[in-house]
Amino acid sequence: MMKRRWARHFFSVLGLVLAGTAIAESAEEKGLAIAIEADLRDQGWIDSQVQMEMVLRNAKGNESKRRVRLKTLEVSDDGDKSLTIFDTPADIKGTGLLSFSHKQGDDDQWLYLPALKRVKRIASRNKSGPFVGSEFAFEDLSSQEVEKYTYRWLRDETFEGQATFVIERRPVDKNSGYTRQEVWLDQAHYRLLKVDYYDRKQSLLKTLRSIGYTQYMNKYWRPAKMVMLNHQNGKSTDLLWNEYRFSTGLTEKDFTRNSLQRAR
Amino acid sequence: MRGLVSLRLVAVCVACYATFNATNLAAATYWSIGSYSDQRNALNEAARIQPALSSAVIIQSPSSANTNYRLLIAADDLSVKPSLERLGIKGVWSVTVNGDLAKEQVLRTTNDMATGTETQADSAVKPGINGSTSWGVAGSFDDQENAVQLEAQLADHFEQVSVKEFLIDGRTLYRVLVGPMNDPTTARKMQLSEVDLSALWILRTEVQSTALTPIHIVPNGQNMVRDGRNIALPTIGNTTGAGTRALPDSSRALPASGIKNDEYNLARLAIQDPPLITENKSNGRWSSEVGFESRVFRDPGLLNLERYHAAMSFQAEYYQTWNDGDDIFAFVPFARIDAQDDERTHFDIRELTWVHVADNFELRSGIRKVFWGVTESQHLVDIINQTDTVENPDGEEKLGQPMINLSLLRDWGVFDLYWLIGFRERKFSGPEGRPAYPFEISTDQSEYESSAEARRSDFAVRWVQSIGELELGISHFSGTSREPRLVPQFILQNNLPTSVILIPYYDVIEQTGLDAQLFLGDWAFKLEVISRSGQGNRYAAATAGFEKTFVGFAGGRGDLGVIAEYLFDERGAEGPAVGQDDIALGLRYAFNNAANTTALLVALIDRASHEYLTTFEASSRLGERLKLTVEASVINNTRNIPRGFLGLLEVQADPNADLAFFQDEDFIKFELIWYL
Repeated sequence: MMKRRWARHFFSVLGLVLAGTAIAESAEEKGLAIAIEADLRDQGWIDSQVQMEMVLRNAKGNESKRRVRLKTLEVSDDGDKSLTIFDTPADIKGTGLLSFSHKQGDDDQWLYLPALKRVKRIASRNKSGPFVGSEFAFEDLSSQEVEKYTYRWLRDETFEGQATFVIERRPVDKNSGYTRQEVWLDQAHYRLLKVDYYDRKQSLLKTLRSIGYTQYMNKYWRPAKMVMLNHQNGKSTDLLWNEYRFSTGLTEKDFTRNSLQRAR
Repeated sequence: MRGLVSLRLVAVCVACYATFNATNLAAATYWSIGSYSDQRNALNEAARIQPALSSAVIIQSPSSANTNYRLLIAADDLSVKPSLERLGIKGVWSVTVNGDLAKEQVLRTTNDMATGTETQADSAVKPGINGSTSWGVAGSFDDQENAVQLEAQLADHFEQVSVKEFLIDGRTLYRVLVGPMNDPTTARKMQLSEVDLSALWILRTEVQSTALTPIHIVPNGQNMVRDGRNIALPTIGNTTGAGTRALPDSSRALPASGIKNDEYNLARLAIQDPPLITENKSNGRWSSEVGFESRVFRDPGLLNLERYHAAMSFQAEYYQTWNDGDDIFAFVPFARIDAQDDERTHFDIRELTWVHVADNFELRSGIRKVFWGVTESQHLVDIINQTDTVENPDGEEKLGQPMINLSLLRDWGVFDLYWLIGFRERKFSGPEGRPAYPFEISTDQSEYESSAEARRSDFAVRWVQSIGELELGISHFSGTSREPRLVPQFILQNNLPTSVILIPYYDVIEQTGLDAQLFLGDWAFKLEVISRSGQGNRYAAATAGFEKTFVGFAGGRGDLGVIAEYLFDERGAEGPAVGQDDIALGLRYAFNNAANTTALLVALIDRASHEYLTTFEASSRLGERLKLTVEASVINNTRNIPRGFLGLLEVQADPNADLAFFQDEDFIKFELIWYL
């Protein structure tokens, strides 16, 4: 008798546990669905060209700037291809970075050093390293593919007057510098408004804010400014995006070793 | 929504300050008197100023076009200006609003939005105040031709399109202007047309439209408006003398009422002056750099020379593209003036080249520099350019080579064909120059295997391909060797040798090369192999090794690279001083800081002679326009070579003491490069 009651109790507890699991699963499904929707809404622009100014600011407020041109080619069944050319500072003028990002595995990256006329393949496992001394890591700027993370919906929340989804994403790649990220996307357009990055020690490392969203081609939203604040060292980096152009007619041929060498 | 003026206005009505009906917002202009990321701050500020104003203060909630809480008042009420000034509000700017979002979307799909909007807006938007005039700036170009191209494109859509020249911060820009217009609705028309002019902004001047001649604009945007999302109208009576209006002061400080802004005060982060436009079609750019160099040698050396050497260098670059970037012209002259060494004082055209880009080939003609290879300690495969030895003994500097290079892009890789027109001799430092050769090298008496001597045409081919993580290159060179054999000639007096001079002899060689690099995670494995005939027997030489990168070494920002390479030359002792049986060990550290500081330390160990050559290189940017590099080279030699001619003979007699005559040439070099 005693035993049977215990068994009944056991199964009711098990039932509760299972119900709990079901809820957790739906949070993961919901998180993934949000990520997929955001990705779908940003497909079909074919290629883009934009100019960007980086403003690096240290804890004392001293600034240093870089000006770059960025060309991107949308690759539907894999990560995007991009070509970044530095215009300033003067000592790295003409330096180019060609990057083929992949949904799975390491990205392929080539660096062109104009003074040496040398194209150098670079170790692409370097995801977590700072991009040209900024607070943006390589992985923060590479093409954000759905497959690069696992997702979990956390809550809905009003953020700065906008209804947002807050989701957690965990990098699939073990070489990522993060354990997890918390992402705020607005419910109206699935635009990424804010990201909190947690480092390998689980402590808050950085916060990214994207502001001044403008819609292009009646579909694609791009921020005018992105601000990355590193909470641990007090440094920050602004990215000011300027003159976005889409579907400009770029092809695979604009993303080769040869095009890397001639772009100055 | 290419929202130029299309503000999504879901205005928050704050009952206690203003009653406000969204439909009343259609086609009206407002003055923005403050911008806050935090709603509480906006409310507090509204509460502070409302009692002093006759107009209603409207709080606009964040929208896609504007991420802040904005305080707006109706722009038709000029009487509020003194009141605002009394409240300490000076930076006022205007926004034009055209109904709510839903309405706009409907209008757009009906295709006649432009006319509809114009009528709507005309009734509400005031014409330019003080006789000022607006132009829509559709693009700014360094090259007039590109501006004219855009002008032609726009001419199909707009009646008044023109290209005007502007001098901004000493730089000439060609702007494509649409207008003049008295109100921003023309710009709105442009924005909604089929032409993508999302980057359009409004330039406002006080001058008459006919008088729009080159306008001198002070840099850093203090009097320029570059905001594609808002049409800026003149501030209330606050136009600047330069004839353009001041930037909206969106960063106005909050009144000191203990209001705590959140960490990201968007009002402060609001888009400031975006950078000046540099179209990637931009053309005809000059840039130049000056280098100041100082070298200190540890002692006077075998030849008892000056220890302190000073030099200057100058390099300029002219770069121009046309045909939408499919044709490129580049010119890079270089000059070095050395206080001690006349041979090091030299001029070279590093590049004078025209590149034509087609769909599946590139044709590159002129004087160029080409680099092949992957390893760090030496570059065996790299052969196109002559080494500029006087510039730097490390062999990394090259002289420009005249050539025609056809580069074919295929699915199976890039295939390059080179016709190398003429030959450039290697230069050696003169009698006062250092690092010193203990022998006189008589370049005036250079000899060639080819009867055409330095006029011989050489040929080369190369194939490169990336196969997954593998980078592979195969090349062949047929022509005059870039490195001469130095043939000793004794100067005899009374049948006794009194001194020796070296005569460079250039053989005709055939060299096949292979270079490969394989990435496995943080490991990069590198290999260069050559096989050369023409200098004595055919021989092979190779460099093989790896570089392992520790990303974020020791928990820091920097990356540490550990380099190990083995250098082999089949000729053994008959081979070159460095590389017959040597080990190179190196450490590279990239600080990943804002100054881009890097350092590289490499020790080259000759396994036969037990000589060590240690080199150190570091560089760091100082500010925006200066770069400092430090280089050092130290040779450890286990032998004791006597000074003077006897020492020289001993050095030459012993092939295992290859580096011995450089033993006293240890130096440290500082170079400051100033980018003009």
